Amino acid sequence: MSWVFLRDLLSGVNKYSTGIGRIWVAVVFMFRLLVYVAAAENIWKHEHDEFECNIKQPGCENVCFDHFFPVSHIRLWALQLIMVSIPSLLVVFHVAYRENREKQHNQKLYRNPGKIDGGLLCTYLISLILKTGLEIVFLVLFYKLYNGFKIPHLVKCDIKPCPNTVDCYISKPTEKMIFLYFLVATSCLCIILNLSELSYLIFKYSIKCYLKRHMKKQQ
Amino acid sequence: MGEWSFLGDFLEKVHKHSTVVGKVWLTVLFIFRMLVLGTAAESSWGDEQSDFMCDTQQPGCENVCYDKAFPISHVRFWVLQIIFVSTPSLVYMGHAMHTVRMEEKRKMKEAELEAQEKKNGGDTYYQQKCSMAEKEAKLSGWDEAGGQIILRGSLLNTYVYSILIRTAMEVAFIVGQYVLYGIFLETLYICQRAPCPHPVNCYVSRPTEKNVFIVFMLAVAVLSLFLSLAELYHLGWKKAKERCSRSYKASPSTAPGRLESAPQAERAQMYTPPPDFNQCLSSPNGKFISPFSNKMASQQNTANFATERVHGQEDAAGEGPFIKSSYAESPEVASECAAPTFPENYFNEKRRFSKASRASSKARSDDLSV
Repeated sequence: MSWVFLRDLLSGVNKYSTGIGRIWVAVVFMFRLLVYVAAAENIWKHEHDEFECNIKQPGCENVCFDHFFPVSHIRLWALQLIMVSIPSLLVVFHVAYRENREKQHNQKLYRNPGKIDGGLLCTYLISLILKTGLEIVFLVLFYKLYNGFKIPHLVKCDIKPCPNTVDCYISKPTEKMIFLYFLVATSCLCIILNLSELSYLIFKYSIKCYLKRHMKKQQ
Repeated sequence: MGEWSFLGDFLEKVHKHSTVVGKVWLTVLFIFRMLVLGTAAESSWGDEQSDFMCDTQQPGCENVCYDKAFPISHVRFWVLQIIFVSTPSLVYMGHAMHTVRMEEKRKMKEAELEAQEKKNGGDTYYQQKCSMAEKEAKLSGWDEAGGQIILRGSLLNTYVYSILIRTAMEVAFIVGQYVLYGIFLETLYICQRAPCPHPVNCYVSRPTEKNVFIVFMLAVAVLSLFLSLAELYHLGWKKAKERCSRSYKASPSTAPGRLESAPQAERAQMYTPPPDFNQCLSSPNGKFISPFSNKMASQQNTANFATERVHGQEDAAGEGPFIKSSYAESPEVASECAAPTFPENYFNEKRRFSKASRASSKARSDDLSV
């Protein structure tokens, strides 16, 4: 199992997206997935081995590392990528359901099963809301877990079995911080894209509805 | 290297629709940057921190010294460089796809409208011809057989801007690398940062090997920059050449019989044009323009025809789409046109149409007079 799986899933989503949706997929591929796989993974690779405390007491480093990094940044990043891509699958499933229904009834029930209208529009809007919500949840989680988006080079630890307050040094803090900010920036960009797509769709279809009603009234 | 397949797939499409210099640039990117980075450079920097040795037993000193010496590793820096330098090409690709999609949608809608009108009655011969023409016009701006977009109008502008931004990114990253690390990596780094008790000697792992790769990547970046500038120059030179040749050949009177491009066709459809004009729109074999034997020429004309229709609004003030960056040959009209069903008059006008098609797609009131 590798990230190619996610890439294939998202490529399917691309077909049934609006223009802004396609930009979102491109941003997720280029600026999040690719950066994660090509760069970020290697930075956090040996984070535990390179975490050093100024003490010889066995076990002190382990407990201190565990205290300061309950979930590693990189794992949280991977979870975020997966969770944020999943709501798009709702659209794919709905289109597949429509096509299946057409096959079963052996007649053309929809003008175009892939066109965003009616029920599919609702599904699409729900997926957008879920995506935005999940992005915000993960950003808040990052903020709360690590007290902001800064990574200090030195942390003080006094958990047993450390006999006193001990200096512990995190490896590559500057590089990790650069990529953390990158993550935050791309998340915010994705949130903005999702919100603009949401407002665009709502605006477009409410205008359509209004015009339809207006025409009916005139007739 | 597998991770770069994400980007590679996107850039394959860009590769198809670039100029020659653009293709060379992309090849340089793929082979000399992505491949080298993914295979060789990554393993060279693999043990960068574990083998970064400082002459001290003070715990934490190595960590902080490494962090001070390398705020961002070379390899990660190059990854970001490749991503940011490739992004403008993807934006151009997105625009190209969008343009083609919009054009196809519009053509489909018109074809549907025509088909509906045909059902309702009206001039069946004319409608038939026009609907056939509309279907053929799906090729506009997108040469399916050659698989190439013709660069003109706003698409060309996007292409030029993408190259400019890409050049700016290259320069920024080259300057950034110089500011961060200079050109060469020193073997010894003297570090003074808490908790190191005093200035400490720290030794970088594999400095010579890293220097080889640093110089290599820097050279490739400079080469890419040079290629981008060459492409800009090439596009600018072609544009200037086109303008010069157009101003040289421009006749003082705008010939009343001169055929304009698609906006006229649109007008024609609205105002029930005389039979001559219909013949100009389509030919017996269903091709959009007169039957040139040169396939590329006919496809290009199809593209010209419909793209000018799209960009008719933008080509105000007689500027017109000015540069074609695909390398399709311009139609050699005189020798190859053989349309016995067409009047001689039309033939001459056709020749003028094909050469002047880039001049202006602006509607002129006297053009429809016969």
